[in-house]
Formats: sequence, structure tokens, C-alpha cells
Amino acid sequence: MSDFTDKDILIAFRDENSRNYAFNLLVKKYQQTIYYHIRRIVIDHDDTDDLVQNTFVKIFEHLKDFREDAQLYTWIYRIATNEALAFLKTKRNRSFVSFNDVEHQMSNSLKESQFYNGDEIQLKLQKAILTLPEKQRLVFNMRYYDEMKYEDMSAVLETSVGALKASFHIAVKKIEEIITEH
Amino acid sequence: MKNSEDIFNEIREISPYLAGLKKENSFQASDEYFDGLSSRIQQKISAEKKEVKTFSLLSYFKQPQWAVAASLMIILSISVVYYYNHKHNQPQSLAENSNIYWDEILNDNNTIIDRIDENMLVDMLANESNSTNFQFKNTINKADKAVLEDVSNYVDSKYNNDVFNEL
Repeated sequence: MSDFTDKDILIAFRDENSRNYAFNLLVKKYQQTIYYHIRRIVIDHDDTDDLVQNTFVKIFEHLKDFREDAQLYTWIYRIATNEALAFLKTKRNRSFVSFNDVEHQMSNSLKESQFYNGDEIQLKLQKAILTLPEKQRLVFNMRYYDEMKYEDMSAVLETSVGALKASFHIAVKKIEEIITEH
Repeated sequence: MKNSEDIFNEIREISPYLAGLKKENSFQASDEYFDGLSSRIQQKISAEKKEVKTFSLLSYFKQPQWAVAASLMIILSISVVYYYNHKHNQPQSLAENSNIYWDEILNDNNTIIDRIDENMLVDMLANESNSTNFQFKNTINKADKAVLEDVSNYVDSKYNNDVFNEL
């Protein structure tokens, strides 16, 4: 599957005869990355499943118009991130609860979830991450777990590299503080 | 790999404690989930295509500018229909009515006068002239009495001889 570059997939997608095949390749290539990226934002598996599907549906609808002045990888990440953040925003507005309440709910659901298998220290780490402001949380996850370069993160989040580095630094410090205090 | 090392060093500089933690993915999703994901997405795309075809017109009017335009068209249509209905159902003026009435009388081939039975009219006048309907005669004044008598005599003289004899 990894034999196909993004360029190959794009060329195949633009041909109507091979569009479905190319799209299938693209899903297989990015499905795990996108799933875990969204999962770390919304925590719940079922919500993540819906959002992953919506993300790929949007990718299918707009891929033929994709301009190659950006990387396909960062473009896909951006769509997934926007989907997840829009979902959280809707969830907060619908239930009239604050940012902290939603994050608190997600934190509580972590251990109860059958799709979570972290040990005690990993659970502490995840709960600490959930206390961070939304932007810092995104930056921490994308750097720590996804090992994304600052330049790519800058393209996804439309933030300068300097600001991202500062956000990551603050996030790491806060997480250490929360874990060691509790 | 270079990027992973860079990130590890970056974290170690900020927080040696966090750098010392084992990095693992605690979130689970089964292999079966990923095996079927692509086909589920394809199904969703096909379903949405059908939905878009069916509801494309409806979604068109969900856009505010088209919704306003459609509303204005509906209001305008109702106003026009109401205006014409109101105009046609409005009672016509007396003058217009009387014109129509006289037009009908004058132009209609089967007018009221045509429909009167001439024989019946003659009978009535003859009976009137010979009757002893004092009640009627007493209610009219003398001048009218004279006129009536003249009419009665005229009818008698004109019809008694020929019409009544025929009967």
C-alpha cells in the first residue's frame, strides 16, 4: 500500500475510471493516522468513527479540486482537525456546557471506554492533556504522538512555527506539573 | 527517524520526566474496524449522492437569499390571486346593474313581454271589465275610475266581438 505516493493517488483519482480505486488506496493509507488524530481530540470511539467517515467523504468530494501547492497529507489533516473541532463546538453549544465540562466528561469516559487500554500513568497523562486549552492540546498531540514537523503543523493549524513551539513548550510544562502533583 | 529523535530531545529539554515516560497509544480500534472502514465510507458516499439528487431543490431553498426570494414570490402570487378574486366578486354599482338589466330586456330575444300569454291578458282584462269587484274599484279615485272605464270599454269594443266570439 505504501508503494503508492500521494502523487500517484491524485493522478489515479482524477481519472474517473480509476477514481474509486484511488480513493480506496487513499483511505487505506491514511485511515489509522486520521482515526487516532480525531480520537485524541474527541476521545469517544463512536464519535470518532462518524467523524472519520465524514472526513473521508469530504476528501472525496473535494479531492479533484485539490491544488498541489500544499501537501496532501497536511490537507487531509486539516479537514480532519476542522471536523473534530466543529464537532466539539456543536457538542458544547447543544448541551450548554462550558469547555471544561465537556473535557471533564471526556476525561471520565476514558477509563470506562472498552476501547481504552492505557495503564494508570497513561490515564493520568491523557487526563492531563485534556485539561489543556484546545489549541495547546492539538499542538501537543500532533507533536508528541503524531511526530509532526512544526512546518507541517503550521500548514494544518495556520499558525506560525514560533507560536507552535511556544505552545508545545507550555503544554509539556503543564502536563508535567499536573502529573507530578496528583 | 531523525524527526523522532529531534522531538525526543526537544521534550527532554523541557521535561525530563515526560521524556522518561513510555510513549504508547492507549486508544484501541480493532483491525476489523479498519478492514471495513473503506467500504463503509464508499457506501456513505453513494448514499449521499442519491440524497443530494433527491433533495437538491430543497437544499437550494435552504440558502437564505433563495428562501427570501421564494417567500416573496409566494406572497406576490397570493396577493395577485386575492386582488383578482376580490375585483370579480365585488357588487357592481347600481348604474352598471341597471344598464345590464335594460340591456338584457332590450337585447334578449326571449324578453319578459314576449313570454306573456296574450290570451291570458285578454281574459284578465275582460273579467275585470265585467266583474263586480267593488273592493278594487272603491279603492281607486274617480279619475282613475274614469281611465279604467275607458280602457275597459276600449277592450270590450275591440275584443268582445271577435276574440270572445271565437271562444
